[in-house]
Amino acid sequence: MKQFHSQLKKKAASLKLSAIERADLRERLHTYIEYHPMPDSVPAAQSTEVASESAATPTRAWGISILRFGSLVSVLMLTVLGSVSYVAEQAVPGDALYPIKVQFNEELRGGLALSPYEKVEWESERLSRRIAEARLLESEGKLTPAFEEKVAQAVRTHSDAARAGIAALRESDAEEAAIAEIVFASALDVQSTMLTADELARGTTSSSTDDIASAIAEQWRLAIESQTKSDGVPSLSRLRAHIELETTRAQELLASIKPYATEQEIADIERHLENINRKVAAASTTTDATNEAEEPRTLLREALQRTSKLIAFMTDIDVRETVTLSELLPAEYTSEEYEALIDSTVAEVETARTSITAAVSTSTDSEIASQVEIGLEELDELLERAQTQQESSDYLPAFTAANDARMIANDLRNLLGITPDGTSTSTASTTATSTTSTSTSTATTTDAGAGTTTESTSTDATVPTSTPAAVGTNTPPAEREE
Amino acid sequence: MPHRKNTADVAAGHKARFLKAFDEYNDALFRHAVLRVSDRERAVDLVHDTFSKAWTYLRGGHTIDAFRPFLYKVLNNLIIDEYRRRSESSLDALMEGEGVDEGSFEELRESTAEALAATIDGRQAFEVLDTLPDQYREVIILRFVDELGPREISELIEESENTVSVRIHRGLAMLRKHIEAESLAREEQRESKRTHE
Repeated sequence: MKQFHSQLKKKAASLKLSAIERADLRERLHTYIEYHPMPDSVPAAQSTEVASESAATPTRAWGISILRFGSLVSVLMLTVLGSVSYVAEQAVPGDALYPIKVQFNEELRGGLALSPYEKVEWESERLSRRIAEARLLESEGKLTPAFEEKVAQAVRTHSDAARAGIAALRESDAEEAAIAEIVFASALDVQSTMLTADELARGTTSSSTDDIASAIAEQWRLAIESQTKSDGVPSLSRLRAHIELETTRAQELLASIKPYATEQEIADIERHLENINRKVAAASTTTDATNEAEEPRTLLREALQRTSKLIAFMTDIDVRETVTLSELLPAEYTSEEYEALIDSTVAEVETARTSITAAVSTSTDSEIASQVEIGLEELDELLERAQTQQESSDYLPAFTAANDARMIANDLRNLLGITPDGTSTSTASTTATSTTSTSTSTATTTDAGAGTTTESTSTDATVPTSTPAAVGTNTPPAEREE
Repeated sequence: MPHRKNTADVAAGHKARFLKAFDEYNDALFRHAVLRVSDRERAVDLVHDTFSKAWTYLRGGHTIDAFRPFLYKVLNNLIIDEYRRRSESSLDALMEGEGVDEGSFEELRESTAEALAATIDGRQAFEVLDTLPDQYREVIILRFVDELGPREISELIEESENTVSVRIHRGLAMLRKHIEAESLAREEQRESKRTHE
């Protein structure tokens, strides 16, 4: 027996988990444990429980379901298919029920009698679920390259499906298809912003979600391309109608979240909604308001994008936890607002310039004089740049240039010891840096402020107010060149 | 108040013990699973399910004093479920009736099992393990690979120690038969080759 025993045992010993298999298995279990923590440690358990549940089902936010038919499906799952299917909804990679969630529940839901438009929405939802799962694993350092590849693939698959849905929709209703396109592109945009925010938060330049990020960027690019190809579509009236729907929905959402959200959040969202409404109004009042006119349609397209993103922010806790509202919806003034802003800034600079040149001619200090000269050169250059950019409607750079010019003018004025109203102070310039000039240095990080405070010409104008310190890159959608 | 200080520690303690059990037993459990279901991927899943069930058990407020028998028990049940899910081979069905006959006196004696085993090459036995019906394979693996004692096995599979002995005996006998049949077949092949040359 002994020999038989040892021989058999030795042979069997050759069967073992490879290092990779074991590591994978351990990770799966870790994930499982995180998702089903011990009930004893109440505070820790609760927070992870909440976060995990919402991550697994990003549609749940402030108690609201994003998809209108969501509750119907839940009932369907629970009664017809049994509790396993229902419980599987919470599954994450690593759970035994996860395949049920992805391959059964989601497929079932997609196969329900959804309108083509809803089908596109659903593919978009599936895509963001996969990414949310990946981001969750990534945040815990458990994202395997294998799974990342799967998610990148899922991005491609669901985007293809969405595009197919849009193409199908185009057969019956080209305008609705075009709208679906815009909404889908916005959804991709949101995902991409979240991944970027993650990266920034982690402080790494390359990350394990790179594949996913580039898959999204690719899809976004394709979406934008096909959007620019369809011209004349959607029509102004159609766009208006759809935006009406969406803004109403956003208002309703806002009303329902008011009891739960913070004041700041509510204020921000309201401000964005105002912004959007103003845009819509502007589109209606432009001189050429025919159905095919380009400018108002561009405005409305932008308005729709922003509304989509706003709704995503309100309905998806995942989005809210990753990005701030200003990162998602960068500050944006209408063209008119920008024009007004730029004009007033330039006027201010020119006034300052006059008083500067006046002051320097009476100054006896040669060193100051030469400094001023250099400063004025720079200022003139900036003003010129601002003008050319404004003419070619590059509003943000124009505004930035004008603002920079204003800052230089301030510095020069301080150097010469003259106050804004032109009178000189008795003392020669001191190197005391005026607090006003440093405070205006935050001016470039603009925010969708009320827009009305920008007319002031005083140098203390801390440009639009309630800045929630939005340090993110503020490229309005129109300017993005990815 | 005195309780509060411990709750987080207790939870952390559970987790640590659990993970330690994972590190200790994952290999052995995997090996057992693979030998039983002959499917590596499936085996990994079974091991995962075993541990996650154990975790669920802990979460339910129960304590696990000795992980090893607990884990083996869970795994074994999962493997049985696995078999039920798969189509029953006619041989397995045949074996169901085996318990009625508690085995001849010869089969109950440890010494005869020993003698029998002495005639078998363990390496060859390993190769033909998957030809055994699961009932016999189970006990052979538990006895010779997992090295559980007869009592432990009987507790695990919930059969009497007699039944365990009988099954081991019959399993060994079958192994020998299969090995002999195989070498015979190989002989015949070589023979036929030679005659054709």
